[in-house]
Amino acid sequence: MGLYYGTWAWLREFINASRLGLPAIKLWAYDHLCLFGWPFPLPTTDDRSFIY
Amino acid sequence: MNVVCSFSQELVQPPDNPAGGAVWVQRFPDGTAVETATGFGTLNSLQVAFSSGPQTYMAQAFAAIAGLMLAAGLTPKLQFGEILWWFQANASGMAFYDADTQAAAQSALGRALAAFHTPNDDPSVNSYADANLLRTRLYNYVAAIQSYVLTQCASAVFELLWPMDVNDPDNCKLLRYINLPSQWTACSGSGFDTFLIEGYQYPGINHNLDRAIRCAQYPWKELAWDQVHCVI
Repeated sequence: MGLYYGTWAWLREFINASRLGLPAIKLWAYDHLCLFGWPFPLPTTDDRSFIY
Repeated sequence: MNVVCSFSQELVQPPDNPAGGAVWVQRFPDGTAVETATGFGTLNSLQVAFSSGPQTYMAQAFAAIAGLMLAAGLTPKLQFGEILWWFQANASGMAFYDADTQAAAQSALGRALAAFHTPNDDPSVNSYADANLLRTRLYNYVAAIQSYVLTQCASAVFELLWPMDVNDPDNCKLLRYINLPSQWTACSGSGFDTFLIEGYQYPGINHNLDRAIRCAQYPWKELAWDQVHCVI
């Protein structure tokens, strides 16, 4: 799944994909995760407040 | 750590020379090559055709990286990423008209390949004869590369990265048909170990998470893959 910029709801997509039980979720591109300083590890549920 | 290696299907300055029999790039009906900007300076890349030159080159490249992975103690897992007939038309139509494909159509169909104008054209024209020819060229190209790699590295496994957004079943019916050979719709017999689906347009451009979720589930809900071999 992609993550490019701040207005992309990729964290919501990640949580939804996590719920599907897929064996792997590949983030493209990983350098975006690093460059933008996205939180890590990524949340796999939305049962706690989280700033997207 | 798991590692998957892939090679782009877009090459910078491939030795394309159709007049000399070297067909390396996909072309629109007006002869224009499929060209995209790499984002690095003024370098542009060209989408490879499913012809013998690129096939041999890619087979050797995949086999070489498989050998390196094996030597490094890794499982040689190789990805065919976004390997497809180009997903956009220019003013003259779709990019199915490289010299080799035109010759193959003439040979197999006894006539020129049908004129396809948009990604959503009807694949059933001429009882699917033209679309099947295109689909089979893609399948044979990939199968030949896999076969060669396995002769060099028997433990290699393969992953298909299939972009659903540009092959959308509802809006790109022609591309959905030709860019997903029937052999690839289930793990068994596909030649692939995993199906990585992507659809960046759905969340990133359409901002539609319903379509993103449909995309994530597509391989096992609408195709016949088992979920354990699916990745997003």
